[in-house]
Amino acid sequence: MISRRFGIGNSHTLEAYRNNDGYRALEKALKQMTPEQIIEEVKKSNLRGRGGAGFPAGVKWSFVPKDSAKPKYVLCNADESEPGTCKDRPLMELDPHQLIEGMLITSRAVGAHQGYIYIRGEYRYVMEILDAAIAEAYANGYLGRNILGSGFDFDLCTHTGAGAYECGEESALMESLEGKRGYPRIRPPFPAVVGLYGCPTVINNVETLSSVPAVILNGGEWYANLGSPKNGGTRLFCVSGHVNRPGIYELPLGFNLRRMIEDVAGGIANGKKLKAVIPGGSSCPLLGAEETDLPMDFDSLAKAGSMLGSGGLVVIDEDTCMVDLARRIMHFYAHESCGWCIPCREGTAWLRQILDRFHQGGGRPEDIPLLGELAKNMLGRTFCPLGDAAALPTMSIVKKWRHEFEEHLTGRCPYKPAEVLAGAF
Amino acid sequence: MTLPEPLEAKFDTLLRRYPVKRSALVPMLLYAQDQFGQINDAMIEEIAQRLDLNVLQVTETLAYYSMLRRKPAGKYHVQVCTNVSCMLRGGNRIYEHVQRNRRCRSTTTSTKTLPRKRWTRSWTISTPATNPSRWRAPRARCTSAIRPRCR
Repeated sequence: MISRRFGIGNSHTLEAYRNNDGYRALEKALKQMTPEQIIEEVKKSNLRGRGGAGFPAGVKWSFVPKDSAKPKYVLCNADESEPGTCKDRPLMELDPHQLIEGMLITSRAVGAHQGYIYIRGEYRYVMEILDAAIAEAYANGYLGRNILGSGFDFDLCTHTGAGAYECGEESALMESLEGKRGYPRIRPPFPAVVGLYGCPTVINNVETLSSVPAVILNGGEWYANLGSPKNGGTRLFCVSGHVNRPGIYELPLGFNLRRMIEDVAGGIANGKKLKAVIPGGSSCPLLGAEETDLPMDFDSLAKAGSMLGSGGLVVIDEDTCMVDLARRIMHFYAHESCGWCIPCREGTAWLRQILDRFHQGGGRPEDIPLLGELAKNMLGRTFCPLGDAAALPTMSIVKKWRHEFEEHLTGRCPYKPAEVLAGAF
Repeated sequence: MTLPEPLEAKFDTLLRRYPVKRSALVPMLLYAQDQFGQINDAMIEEIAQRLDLNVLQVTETLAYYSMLRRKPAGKYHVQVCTNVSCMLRGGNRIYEHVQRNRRCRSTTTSTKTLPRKRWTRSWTISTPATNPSRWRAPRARCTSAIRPRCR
């Protein structure tokens, strides 16, 4: 589906793209469909946002006011920074024209004439590939004025970030694109009404936009049937951690998680047993080994108390210290918290401090409930979901692997039995 | 301030790209840093003037982004990923080895001369655990001491 051109030589060029059904969906969208029909088709496809929240793309587009006097914008969120996720990079590196086509169809649906692709600063080389693809599209009449003779105009360019995780959040991304510090905005108003430069804006993830051409070309119903009910299509799963074959795999939504680990990723490395799984990037609550027999779609994971997130599957084997893992996750969030909302700025730093203390063997019995309590107080009290993202995995680790924290109280890590931890002295 | 030709061209393109001038700020700073290795006071003033901003507006934005720096970096910029996925597959061991071998700490610059050929290339490791092709690169170049022993 979206990864089908990955193996083709020079798949990033317009020629290779056109030889493999490229820009056919755009022709169909421009010449045979009205904007309303495009939105209807995407709604029918049950295509849900691939960035993390899983909001239906068609519904999001329909929120954009049709008769707005202000210009409208389409943004592509290519600030992929979620630990464990690396799906957007190959999509832009190996198939940039698919993304451009997806953005063109999206802008046609909402009536936008300007688009920006916000790429994280670390992906500078990917930006060069995209810039070359955009120049090729301009030269061949797929971008610019009067596209394919339809009278539709669209301009597209890339924009680089400079190393802030926070800018992957939609409103912080817009602030950053406006040349300011990447602080999140309060919602409502939502970006569909007041977004970039105060104008109506549609913002979608790279993978969501890259899926749009397939939906238009083959029909929404066909796409919806690929996945499970209410979770249309396929998505890229990035499997990393203790597995034999880590990598990026395109699988239909609703694929069984245990099968994904055992069959697709080749099982746990070195014959170890499975201990835990992070199902969708490090901001999701962890699942224990006994909970893994479930279909990977947005609704099933929500029912299991976790999230599908951005599809970054991190597999953890039985020899991993969960206190150390929680500590590493919290170090990341404490570093990346932008400092705008106090519960997140202070909460992540406090949690980091407590987890560091535990890791060094200086934990106190009252710290265990304190961790849960602190995390609970961060939930839902911040402008953006970064506070929640830090709190949720911590709460799940403390709840499910509480005994490991208790074992650390003795001054020894159960996974390093020979070593007395420094903090215990 | 006269700028080198390629940088001037990049700035011109950026200024034409956005309906609001300030939008060009972050990419401009990044390109200036590419050219000079750092962003100095003169550069900040120059960019502020071109975007009709004051110096404070530029510095407050600059301070937010971790890839923008006011001090020059070393000749080779080595980054090692130790986040969750990489931590599980030995990222910390690589990090410790690089620190030991380069005699420099995180975010500091080493003055040690480059003794062996294998360090004459800068390398960046990003999410190696999920990208086998990148994962092999440091292995091939380094001795067994840093080879992550995957449990």
